[in-house]
Order: sequence, then structure tokens, then C-alpha cells
Amino acid sequence: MKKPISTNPNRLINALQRYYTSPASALLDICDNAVSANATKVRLSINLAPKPSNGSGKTKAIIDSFQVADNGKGMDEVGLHNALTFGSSESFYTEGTLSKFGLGLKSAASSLGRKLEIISRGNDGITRIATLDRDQLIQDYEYELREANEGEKSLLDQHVGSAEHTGTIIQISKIRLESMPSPTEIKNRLNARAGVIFFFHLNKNDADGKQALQIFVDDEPVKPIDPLFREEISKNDDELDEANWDGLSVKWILKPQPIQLDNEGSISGTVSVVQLPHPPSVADSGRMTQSACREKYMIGAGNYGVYIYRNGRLISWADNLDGMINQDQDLYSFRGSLELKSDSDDILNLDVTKSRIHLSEIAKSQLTAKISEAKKNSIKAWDSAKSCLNRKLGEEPRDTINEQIDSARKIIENDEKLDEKVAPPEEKKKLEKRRIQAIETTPATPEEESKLRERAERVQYVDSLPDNQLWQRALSADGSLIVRVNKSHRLIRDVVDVLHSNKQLVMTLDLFMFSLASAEYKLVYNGSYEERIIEKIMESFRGQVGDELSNVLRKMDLPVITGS
Amino acid sequence: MARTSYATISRADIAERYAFLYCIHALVPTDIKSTSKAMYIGQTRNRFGAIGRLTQHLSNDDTCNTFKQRIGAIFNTGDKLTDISFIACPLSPLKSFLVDSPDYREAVEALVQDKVIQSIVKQNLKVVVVSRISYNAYTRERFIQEEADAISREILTWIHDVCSN
Repeated sequence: MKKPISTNPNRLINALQRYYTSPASALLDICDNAVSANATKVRLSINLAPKPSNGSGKTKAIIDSFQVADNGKGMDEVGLHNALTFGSSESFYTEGTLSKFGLGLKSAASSLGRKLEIISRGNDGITRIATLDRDQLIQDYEYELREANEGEKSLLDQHVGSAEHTGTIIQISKIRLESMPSPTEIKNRLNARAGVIFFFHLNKNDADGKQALQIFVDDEPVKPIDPLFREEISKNDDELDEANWDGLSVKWILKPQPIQLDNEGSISGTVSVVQLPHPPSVADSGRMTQSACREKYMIGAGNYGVYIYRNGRLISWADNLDGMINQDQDLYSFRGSLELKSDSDDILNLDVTKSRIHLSEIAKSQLTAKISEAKKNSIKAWDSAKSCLNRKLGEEPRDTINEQIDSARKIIENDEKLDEKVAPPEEKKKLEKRRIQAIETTPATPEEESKLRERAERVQYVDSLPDNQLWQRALSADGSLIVRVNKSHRLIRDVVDVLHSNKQLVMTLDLFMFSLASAEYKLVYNGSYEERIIEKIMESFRGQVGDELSNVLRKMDLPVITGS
Repeated sequence: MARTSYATISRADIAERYAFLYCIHALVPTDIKSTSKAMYIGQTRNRFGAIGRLTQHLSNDDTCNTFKQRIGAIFNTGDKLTDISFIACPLSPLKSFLVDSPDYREAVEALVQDKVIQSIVKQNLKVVVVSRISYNAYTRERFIQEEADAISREILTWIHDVCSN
């Protein structure tokens, strides 16, 4: 025998309303319905009333009601009934809708107040009002439906512009004042969030080139805010060069790329990551203060991570993607987005608040490498911008060690010249030949020579060296020695860059690299072996060291060294 | 004979120790009636060539990262693979690709996987890529990008053939 299962809507509503952590998020969820109803204007209002003085003589403004008014397609009687039904029918949802479970309006409204009124005019031209007052409930869950009176009609007319136009006003009163933040706090939160949450909708233009959707908080229009500030990325110089970033502008770390979400390869999302400016560098440039920069780009503890959009509506703010993005101040400029469609809801286990997803195994495997690389580049870029500033202040450890090496090396090189000068003719000839040959074999580039001249840079980090070599020596035209270090080598990227804040380590490593190069040069210049053979052996040795280091690091548990 | 396998190999040097970028495509049962198409992209410099690495991928040896392991982790239906196709593209004879350390080969592999996924998604080919990659700084080298471009072109042509069969 099959028996129907009864539900208790009152208890259900009590449970669902607890999903809302703030009144702003409840109001913005109600706003979703307006967007789904093809509204071009949505107005969120907080209506205040004076709270009678309780003897102190001071009157306090309290929230009397919340209103969400839109000029969307409105609802007829069936539509209103559906709007108040738990798990409202899917037939009302079109593709790309922001709705999912048919619970949003009821639970969001209930989290704000005990009385919900919906004034709506659909295509049949009749303005109706449906009222659900939880204090007046006779049975478990029921609402009153009637035609709107003149006052209610004119309220809707004011919002939609004319008596002919369709639209809806959602009004919530009998506010739950016991846990309600102040009106200003709610308004500030709405202003801070709405522009980001509805960015894609607010940023879209209709066929006439007009903004397709406008949202107002009270009378102030909400500005679309792309948390990735993609419009600021220069078209000509758009990719992040993390080793030389000056920290002043927004750059791509990862341009939009698809990732697969399901096991059949038929559902996908798009991931992108940018690097936002480095506030201290921006302040140093005089463009704006640090705090203005932080405010403009929303740079702060709760804002770095990945912004997840579903059908163009933000569902998760600065998500850490199941722990992929760790807490690290050096990641403050890291900002990603993951754009999904509702076809991925089931695959990603979208929860009832539509704010949490659980990544599928395939999504995780395709995202992990991208996010891990993007994080590495973001941290490195943040560090480069910091170094750039430190250099200006004379506090860059690499500058300090380079100056020290340079002054010591100048003495050695001078002594070598003197030794060569006073050597017996045959030896002098041999040394001269070997010196010239060494210079010709590995000449410094003009850029390297100028860094040596202007900044005494004896240890120069280069983008890459052939065959995974970690270091390579080079000589300026006058025989001054420098060492190139391969920034792309695993030792530098996975270990040294992670330990960048350890100044002593950075300086020791530079000194060690330079010593390797100077030892090589010594063997080539005045060693007892044939110089061409030595050169060949050294080159092969460098490649082998680079290879071995890379292999051993790959097999090691790096956090043991880096402590990260 | 239901248990008989057929394979055609176009060149014997697939068994030589050399640097290869390869791709395996197979059908994976998702329930009694249906199958999914899965793909694995990898690099190798195996002692027995790309075919040696293929053997590891299809064996039940769980000591290294294999196609079968990935299928087992992603699909709950087990790792019974059928209709397996394989392409192995030799990398250019550069020292960087031929050394023990796989950094340069992995850089090509990561770029190839990105390009393949982009193309699969764009053309809605309904093949899931189950291999994992790791990026490194060499992905920015021009010769790596050119190598990845050339290899992904070959692989994509092959995928079209495989998917249309």
C-alpha cells in the first residue's frame, strides 16, 4: 500500500529561512526572481518607521518593511500560486533561469519578516495581491488572494511606469527585528554586493544598446562591478610577467579556458584568473592611496579566491575551491572566476542556497593544476612588486648581496689582471688567450652589461637557460664575471620563491651561485686542463646538476623544506 | 571471439626509447547499456618507447599514475576499457626533450592537454580527458609552444577520426 507523505510547511519554512546569513543575501535572492522574469528595472527598498521612545526621549528609525519591485513579466493567478508553492513547478523556469528549487522567495522572505505580500500584474492585465501572513495562519500554510485595490494598483503603476505594464512588488513586513542589522548596514552590504553578484546582467546591453538591467538600492543605481576588473587589462600588454611585475595594473594570469565538469565530457565551465594591483606599489606611484586602491579593487582577507557564477549570477564569493586556495596574504591580488551554467547543477551538487558547489572529480583534476600554477605566479608577482619597492628604499636583499659580491670580485679581478701583467711572456700569452676565449664563449648581453654597470648585478636571474641548467656564467667585454640563474628551474620556482621572505637564504643562494660560476671561470682561465675540454665538461655538468635537482625535488615532499 | 584484441601499429619505432607525447582513447562502461569516451594525454621516455608506457597504462600495476587508475578514480563503474585507440607523437630531437628530467616534456604535455580540451569543448565532442597535468615555467618558451601546437594538431585530427568511428 502506498501512502502520501504529508509536509508541514511552517516547520519547513522555519528550517529554510536559516540558510540566509544576512538580510542582504535574502533580498538579492528575491531579486533573482525579478531577473528571471526579464525585468529591466529592479528596485530594492528599505522602508523605515519611527520606533516609539521608551522613556529615553529619543526616537529610533527601525525597518518597517522591505520591498523588491520589478517591471518583469508579472504573474497571473496561476503564477502567484506557483510562486507561493514549495518546490514550485519547473515548467515556470526557462533555460538560463536563476531559480532552481522553487524555494527561494518563501524562505528568503521568511528570513526577513513574518508577512509576505506579492502585488503582481501579468499578461491578463489584472493586478492581484497574494498575502501570506504567518501570524494569521489558520491551517499550516495558506495565503489570501484577491484583486488589488486602487492604492495597491497605483503603487505598482508607480514602479512599472504605467497601468498597462506588467510587474511585481514583493513586500515583506512584520520584520524580524530581533536579529536584524541596522538599515545602514543592510544598505551598505547591498551596495557592496549587488554590483558584483549581478555583474554580467548589469553589464549587458539590449538591442538598442541600453543597459539591459538596472538595479536600484532605494534610489541609487547599482554599478556593475567585475571582481576581476577585466576591462582594465591592457589589450597590448595583458599577460602577467610575474618576475618583473611592477604591481601597478591588472594582468591575466590565466585567460578564460574551458574545463570539463562531468564524466561524459558534455558539460563544461570556464575558468579565468587575474592579478589585481599591489596597493603599496600603486600608492608609491602616486596614483591613489593604499586604502583607495584596496577599496577600489576590494583587496582584503575575505575577497581573494574564485568567484563562481551560475547563469551569469554570482553564487559563491571568493570561493577557496575545496581548499585549493589557501590563506596567504601574498595571494591578496589573486582573483579568479568560474562560470557555470545550470546544466552543471546536478554534477556539482549545487546546494539549496545555490551558494555552494561540490567539485566533481574531473573538475577537480582539471582545475587543480591551473589553480596551483596561477597561485604560484600570483605569489611570485606580489613578491616582485614588493622587491621593486624595497629596491627603491634600499632594502632589497639581492641588491645588498650583489653589492658585496661586486666589491669583493672587483678586487679579485684586479689582482688577476696584475698577475697576468707581470707573468712571464709565455704564461702571460696563455692567460690572455684563455681569458679572451672565455669571454668569447659566454659573452654577457648588452642588457646584462648595463645591469652590472648600473646596479652591480653580479647574479642575474634570467627567464630560462638551455637544457634545464640552473646557472650559467657570462663575462662582460672587460672580463667582469656574472652568473645567470634560471628562474624557471624547479629549485627556484618551488623552493626559493616560496622562501622569498627569508632574506638570509636569498643572499646565501646568490653567493653560492656566484661561487659556482667563479670556480668554473678559474678552471677555464688558469686551470691546468685544456680549456675547451673544461668548457664542455662544465656545460655537461651544469645540465646534469639541473636535471638531477629537478628529479630529486619532484620526488621529494617539498613542504619539508619550504614549511608551507 | 569476444576476448580477442586487434591492434595495428604504423611504425616499429614506437617501441624505441625516445621522447613521445601520446594520447589513449577508450570506451568506459557507465552502466549496463551505455559507455563514456575517455582520453588520457601523457608524455614518456620509457625504456620500451610509447608502447611500453601504454602497457603500463593498461596493466593492473598500481605503482604509477595510469589511465586505468584514473578511470577507476573517476568512474564508479570500474576500469574495464574497450575499443582502445592510441597515438604516439615523437617529440623533436632536442636535448631538452631527451634528458631524464621530464620538465620540458611535461610543459608540452600541459599545453597539449589545454588545447585538446579547448577543442573538445568547442566542438562538443563528448570525450572526457582524465589525465592530470602539472605546469611549469617552460610552458612560456616559444619552442615548447611550437612543439605543443604541432602535436595538438596531430592529436586533434586523430581524435576526430576516433570519435567519428
